[in-house]
Amino acid sequence: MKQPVEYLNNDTTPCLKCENHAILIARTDYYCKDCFIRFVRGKQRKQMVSEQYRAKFGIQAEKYGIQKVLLAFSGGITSMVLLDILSDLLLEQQKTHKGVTGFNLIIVNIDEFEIFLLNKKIQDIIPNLIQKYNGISIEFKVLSLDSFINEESLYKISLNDEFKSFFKEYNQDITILDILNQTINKSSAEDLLNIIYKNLLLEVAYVENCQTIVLGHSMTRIANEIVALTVKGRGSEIHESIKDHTEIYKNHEIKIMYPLRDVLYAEIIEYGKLADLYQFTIESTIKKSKISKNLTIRDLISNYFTQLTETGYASTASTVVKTGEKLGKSKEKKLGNCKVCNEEIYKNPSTWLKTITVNEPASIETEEELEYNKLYKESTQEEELKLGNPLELCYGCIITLGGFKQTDSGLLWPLKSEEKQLNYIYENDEVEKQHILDEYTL
Amino acid sequence: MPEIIQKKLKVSALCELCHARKAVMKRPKNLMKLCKECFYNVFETEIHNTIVSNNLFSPGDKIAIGASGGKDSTVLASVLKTLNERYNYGLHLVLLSIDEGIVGYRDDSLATVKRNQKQYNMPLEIVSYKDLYNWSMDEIVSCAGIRSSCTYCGVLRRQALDRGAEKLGINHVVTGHNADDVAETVLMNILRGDINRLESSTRILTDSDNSPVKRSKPFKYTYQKEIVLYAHYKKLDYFSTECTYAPEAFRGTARELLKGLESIRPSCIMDIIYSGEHLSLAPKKKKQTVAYKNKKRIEQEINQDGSVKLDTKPKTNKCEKCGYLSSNKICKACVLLQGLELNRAKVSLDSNSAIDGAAKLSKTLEGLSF
Repeated sequence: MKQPVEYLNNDTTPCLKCENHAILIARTDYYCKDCFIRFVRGKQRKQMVSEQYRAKFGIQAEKYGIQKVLLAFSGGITSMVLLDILSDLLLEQQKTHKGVTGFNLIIVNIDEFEIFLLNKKIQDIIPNLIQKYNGISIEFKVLSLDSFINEESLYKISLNDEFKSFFKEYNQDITILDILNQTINKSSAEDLLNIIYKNLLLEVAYVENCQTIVLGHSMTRIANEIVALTVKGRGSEIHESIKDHTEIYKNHEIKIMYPLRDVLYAEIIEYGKLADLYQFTIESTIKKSKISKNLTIRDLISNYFTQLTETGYASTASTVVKTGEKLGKSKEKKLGNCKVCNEEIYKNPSTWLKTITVNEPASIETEEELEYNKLYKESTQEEELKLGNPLELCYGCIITLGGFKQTDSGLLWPLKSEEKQLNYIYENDEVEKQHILDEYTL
Repeated sequence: MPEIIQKKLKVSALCELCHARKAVMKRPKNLMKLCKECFYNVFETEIHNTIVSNNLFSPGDKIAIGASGGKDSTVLASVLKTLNERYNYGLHLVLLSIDEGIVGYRDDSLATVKRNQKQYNMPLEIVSYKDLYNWSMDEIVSCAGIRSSCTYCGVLRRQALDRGAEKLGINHVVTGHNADDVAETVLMNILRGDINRLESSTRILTDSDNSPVKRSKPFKYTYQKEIVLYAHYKKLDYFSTECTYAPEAFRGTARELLKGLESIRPSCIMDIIYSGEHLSLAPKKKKQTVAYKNKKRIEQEINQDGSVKLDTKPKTNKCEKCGYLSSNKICKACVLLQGLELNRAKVSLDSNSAIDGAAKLSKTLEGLSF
């Protein structure tokens, strides 16, 4: 079956753009190494073509001020490729505009070393990256995942039989890893991590005065996200979360962009190989299970897309992305916002679930049945479990909450998300120097 | 029953709802351990809730149950009969079957429907493709090939159901489409980019302009696995072979995906339906076009007597060929049949049995072993 990117063997066909020999075919066109890299870079430039990201002078420079772009950097191949592309853009701007660039780049990594058992620490590869892109100044920050929780603001959230959610205060030392380990469903943990990442990135962007956050999502990944959101009952969020859009966070407008949205994952991998970026990437040492029961929703869907490519339905990813882009706000009436993920709620999820999932028993009829029922009541000695005050949650979060054992733990979560103290594990010298200068220079 | 009393049940073995009877099954929807009685209760009540909250029926309605003899429609007939009596819906229920003419599949399943007719004491009407279109599915497949069989069958069945219902003077057909089918359709529409159907894919009641008959799916929120369990415990008489013609390849992949997802999160079928109910298209951006100064005016025809000719072109919503309601000049069924007619064999052998059950033969061959 035809692959999205195919290498040529000793072929003398010329490259589409120059006279060199082509080395690969991508999207039916022949490319040499440099032109393929240029082709992928072009995709990013097309997305970030706005004046905002160009080198500006005079009135324009005044109008836009210093533009700061936050790159969400996991150390995986896609964010590595995006870093490479953006640094190339900055270098080119510097050269052509005598040192002036269109924006400052802040690279933020949320530390996943423990949670995904990574093979390298991000701090160890940063010096290499700084050396590789030494022509431009880049700020690197590694943020602790636990910045998301603040001991004072933790609450215990639980669900009752009627799918209604409640919260009560909970004061104990706990880490994100502890919280996620309490789930009995891997997909629930995945869903919560998504919420944490989004929130932390917005917080950093807000604190650092970044106007834009860029993410390395490829077209394949966005397609995956669309299907995953549908599967998680978060269909009403699709239109917002996969388009380039603006979030209002603490009264600040922050633009969220996916500059690689036109690039297939397979093309990113080839870019990574051709630009020799794999030496810097970080991977998880957890091996993905072969049994689908041990996978998460996202894993299953990415396997599905890979399998589709192999069976000749390779265009599905682009179809899905185009479909997702045509979606809009739900036509249902908005009821409020979810207290866990902050997304909008439309149809009342607990009423909806209650109507279609009845939890009432058939009547007890015989003597024997009555006796058993008595026995049960005696054995449990039901003490009225006080669940706390009612809490408004969206459907997706109710389902995620269902992945936690309700009786003893429930979900521990910070509800007052404003009180966040960002805890950086690492900041590069440049940044540290600036901090010292800011503090001590008169 | 002295033995049962002697062997006392442990409290942990009791049904998680009534805590009084022995749990015999795990409910596929939420993996709750239930006894038979509680399972029947939740299963039937959920369908009742769906019917009531969506106002599907009103007293005195005549309802046709699209009956194939398969598990979904058999359970549908049984449950509707039960609920109709229990909650006094006041419905008049009729079984409506379509005979597509697939030897080795439909003839056997129709026999089941005929038994159901007696078991449930309902009238039965059978409409056949052969009578309506002069083509049986076996003939269509032998002419057009097995790959497009579902396309033909789907279009023809829709019309056949409508015609059958009209013949009986009924304007509401209920079908056994279950939650798995609906979830699968939502996924399929996203994967195939079927924008036109995206918003309506989860609608429980379809009421289209080009059909006088409405359709509804009372099983919209009912898991397929629970339908199987219900049929099993109630010992319902159903026919359990899938259609012998190959299922659509791409739908097959979506079904596999859904099965995998269900194994890691049983609620995902509901979750997808909830998502599906919220999907809506963004308003189309109007393309700004340049208004030309010398734009041509719309021409107006003047009649000989000086009066203005009105646009008399009638808004035909009837097929020119068969007279059936259609949004196009010629309905989809007639278009398909026209194409088939061109390829029909001019000469055919007497009692050509190769056509009959073309798929059955391959199925039998598959089953052979050495």
